[in-house]
Amino acid sequence: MSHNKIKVGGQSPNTSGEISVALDNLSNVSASSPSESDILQYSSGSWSTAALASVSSAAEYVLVGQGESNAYSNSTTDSTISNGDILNFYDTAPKNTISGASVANYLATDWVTGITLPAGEYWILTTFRVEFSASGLLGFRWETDGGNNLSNIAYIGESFSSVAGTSSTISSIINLASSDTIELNASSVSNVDTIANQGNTPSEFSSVLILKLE
Amino acid sequence: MSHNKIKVGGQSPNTSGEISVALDNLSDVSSTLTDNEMLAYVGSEFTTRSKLSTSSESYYRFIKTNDDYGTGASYSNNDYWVWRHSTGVVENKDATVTRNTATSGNSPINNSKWTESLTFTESGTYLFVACVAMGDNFTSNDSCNIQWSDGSAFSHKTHLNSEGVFGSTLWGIKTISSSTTFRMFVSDIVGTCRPISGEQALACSITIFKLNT
Repeated sequence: MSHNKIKVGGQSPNTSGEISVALDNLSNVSASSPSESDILQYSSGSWSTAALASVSSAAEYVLVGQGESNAYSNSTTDSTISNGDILNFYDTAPKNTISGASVANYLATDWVTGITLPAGEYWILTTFRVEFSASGLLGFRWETDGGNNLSNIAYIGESFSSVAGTSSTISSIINLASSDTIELNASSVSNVDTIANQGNTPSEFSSVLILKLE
Repeated sequence: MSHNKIKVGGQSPNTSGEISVALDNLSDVSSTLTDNEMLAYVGSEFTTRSKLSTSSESYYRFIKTNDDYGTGASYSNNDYWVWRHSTGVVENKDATVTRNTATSGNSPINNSKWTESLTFTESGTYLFVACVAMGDNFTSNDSCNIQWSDGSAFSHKTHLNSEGVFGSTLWGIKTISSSTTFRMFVSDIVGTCRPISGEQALACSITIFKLNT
């Protein structure tokens, strides 16, 4: 019979003309003797089984702000920090392992003004510090560049009044339905010193860490 | 035509004689992958499993409870920040991580019940997070900065100040390929800054995640 000349993945048809093909029969798969819980892994042009534990499960993250020194006046032409202003982070070598994520810089400086993230769920951890001209307060919160709130507001300073006891660190889970750019915005600004007098403080003491969860 | 009698993985040819075979048509594959799933061998076949975790796979935490060092010691600039590990400590430490005893050469105290640094021997990328504080009598404009280091600083600084709140959490990421000792160091001291005592220590923690191998 003519159909007996046909083979698929090296497998011949049975007497009913049916050819049963297993994963290992495929030309680019090597899976002849898998062990329980092995998974199929692509490497160097072919698929093969591998133990789950041996497969890299690297977390994806963005880290901006690692203690380097630079004057905050290099990050803006503004003379003061006001409510709604974007707060910038300094990093000459930000870490970014999230596929599709990027950081936006102010002109040709190493001051980061925003972070673009692909759709997904993230844990974001943030601290920010400024100099005050007198006992004062600064709140800061992550928002999309379209103005949607994404996180708790964290506060620093010496004059907390109605927000006494609040956290000085942002820790929030954020969900983005599509790629979006996020910015750290100032609020409750009181007695924050001028941009010229900020010196290296925001650069050395401010940082954002973003871990991709899903 | 005789070839029309042929089936592959249960699939018949179309009118052009072409047979379309999907992954789950294979004899030892039970279902088709969906988003974020992977194919794993279970029992005697390949089937879908939930996605690989991208979260951390190692975790260390140190929280001291009610042990005081008192006011008998204070930090000098560039001393290692120290914490007590001996009594009532909630700790989940990987066996490959070495806790290094506080010594007078690096810290304000010389005491085997206190830790000044951690040595990691497994290569990989680690995330270091710490909530820190100062000890008794941290008053009257006392202040200092603390920063993660492996010999070189690799995190932002946090500023502890008795007169206000300017942050008290610091984090950094470091990749190592050989044995490396990590610590936090104290700098820019104004006034007197002492090792944490019981009450302040309850507000402190060190959490270290292994981000990848």
